[in-house]
Amino acid sequence: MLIDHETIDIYIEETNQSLAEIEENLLVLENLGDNIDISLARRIYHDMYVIRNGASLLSLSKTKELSQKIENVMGLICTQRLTPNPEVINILLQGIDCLHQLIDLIHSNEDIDIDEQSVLLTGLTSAVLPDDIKQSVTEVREIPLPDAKHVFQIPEFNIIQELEQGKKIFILRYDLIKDVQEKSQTPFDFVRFIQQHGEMIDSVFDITSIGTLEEQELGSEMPYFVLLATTLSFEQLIKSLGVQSHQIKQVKSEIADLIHSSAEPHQKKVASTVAVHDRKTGQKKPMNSLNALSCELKFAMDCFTHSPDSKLSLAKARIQSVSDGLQKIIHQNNRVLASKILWKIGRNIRDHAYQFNIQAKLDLQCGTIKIDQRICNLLIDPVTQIIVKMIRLVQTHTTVQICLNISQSEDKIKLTLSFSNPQILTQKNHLEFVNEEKKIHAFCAEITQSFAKETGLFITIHVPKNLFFVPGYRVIIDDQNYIIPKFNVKDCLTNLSASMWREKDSCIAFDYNEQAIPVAKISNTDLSYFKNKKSLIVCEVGNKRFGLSADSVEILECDAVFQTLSKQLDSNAFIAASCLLDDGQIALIPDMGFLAQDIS
Amino acid sequence: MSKKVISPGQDIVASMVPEFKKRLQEIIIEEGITELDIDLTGVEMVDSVGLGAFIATHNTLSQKNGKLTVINASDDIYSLFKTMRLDQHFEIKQG
Repeated sequence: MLIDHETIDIYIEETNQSLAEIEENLLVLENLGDNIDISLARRIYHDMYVIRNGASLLSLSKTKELSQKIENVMGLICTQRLTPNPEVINILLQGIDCLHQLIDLIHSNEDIDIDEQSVLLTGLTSAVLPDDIKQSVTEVREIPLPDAKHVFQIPEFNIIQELEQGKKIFILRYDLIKDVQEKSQTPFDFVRFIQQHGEMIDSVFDITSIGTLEEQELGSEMPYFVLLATTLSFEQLIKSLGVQSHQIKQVKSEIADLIHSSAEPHQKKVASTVAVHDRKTGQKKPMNSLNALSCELKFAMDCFTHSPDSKLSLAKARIQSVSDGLQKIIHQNNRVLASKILWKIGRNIRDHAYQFNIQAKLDLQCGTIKIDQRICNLLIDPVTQIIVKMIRLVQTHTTVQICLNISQSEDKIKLTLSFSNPQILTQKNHLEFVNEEKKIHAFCAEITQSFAKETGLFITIHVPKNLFFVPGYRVIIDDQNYIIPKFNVKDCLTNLSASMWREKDSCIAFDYNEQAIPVAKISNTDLSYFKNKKSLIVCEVGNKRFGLSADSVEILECDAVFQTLSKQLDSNAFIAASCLLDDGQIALIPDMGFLAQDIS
Repeated sequence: MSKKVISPGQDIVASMVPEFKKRLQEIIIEEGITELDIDLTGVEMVDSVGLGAFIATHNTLSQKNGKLTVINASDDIYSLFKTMRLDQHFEIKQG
């Protein structure tokens, strides 16, 4: 036997242990965010290197390919060219999951598809690289052999990675008859020996020199070339491998440009994904403004709609069509592949499983469905909590797999949660979703659950597709929650003292930036009332600036799903809409236009 | 296109290669076989000369637009052929 089963078993055991440690370390790395622990990143990088080398030795091509790609990403993290944010870590963890499966199937020819993970990892690598290096991930560098008949074709990025580790690249020329057979070595021993001295990037037989069955010279010479990356010098290599100097050639001129670029990794530092995110945010600004205008129009339109003046009907219809058109553009521009955001649920489930030492997995079935990203973001937390409750129902030592299926009709999105193995629950269990329901109702969605012996537990969530979102800040005024639209908020002052408020021309005013700004009156006009308020939100509507006193302000911005209220609250003219908060409380949205007009 | 399976049933090493090569020549040149499967059931070891025999068989079949497939390779032989990139020249299937 060339590789005994014991060796394979040791590789499986060590690799599984190593992958478990890598998983834990990746989570630590993620929590550190921008403060990358370089030594920890290097440890992960090294562990991946060991796994890849073993895979190479055992000719596990898929394991080797995937571990190489994870190693490439880790290389970028080690050199601080990539920030290990949740998206990056998730792709790495998916790769690790896939490696686990490959190792489990080591005896059945690694019979799983790694294409998806492979593409994701390659994309990650190329996405963060500067334009001049980006191509290296897909570009292939040709390194001609000394015989000029053959060439090695290697992805440039792999060469750069080796060079960045301080390795040199050599071409070794062997004759398998003279250098191996006549020295009573087997080809396998020979390959292992070379691999002990460096990374065998590629190898090639000169099969034309070997000839055909009819040619007499068969067996007299078997030229075999190896492309080796090693930290050893030319002289050390000759000594260690026991070869002649004419058998070794260092690859220099063919990769001179790559040597140059790898020597200055830090100067090539590129924008991190955080910066990419910033750029994306920048691109979205026009859309945010459009959303603000649309909300304003919606609030204004609502007052208009209930006006009894029938002469305005045509104008109303035209404004309504503009409002609908704006909403359509906003929804269209917020649509993203659901999988691009909802993967976070799987990630949360994984974290939960770690914490409680159980095995759980999410099978996210959403294909290429596109959903408003704001809805996706609102779904993550309650759906995660529901899945956690489902997992806790099950008493098993094997992996619990939950299936999250997403489909959509013209006006609704349907999410169905079930156990991949419906028989895992033998009896009906009714789950309580008090907090989750509050969060789900906050975006006008409904949740139901059902159980049948054959199909198991099913939890269904229906979400309306065309929701109106207003980005805003949550404030409390006189024990009532309000959402102040973000586009009206210019500043927020807290820890105010009683002396800062004053009365001017029978109005309450506040000194802001050396100017007295009027303060809106929501429930009380008495100066003593304002003197008890600790916060002031400086608002702007058009060119009118005014203050809104509050008891407390949550600086965190939230996306609230609102419904206009004019019909229900005719007496309260300053309220434009209401929304349900994710803790079940109702919040009102002031009609900022009305307040501005009221002050003037 | 004629197809045949040959099963050497023993390690492919220098001592048996001349006889093995003769048999392969008979099959390809005299019998006109263009699709040949070499069944490695029971083969645990291939040395350098043995590797040469596989490559020469591949070269011979290629000249005749034929195809060599190695089947039932043990884990070790499969991994050796893959490491040496022989799978880029002919198909190798594990046992």
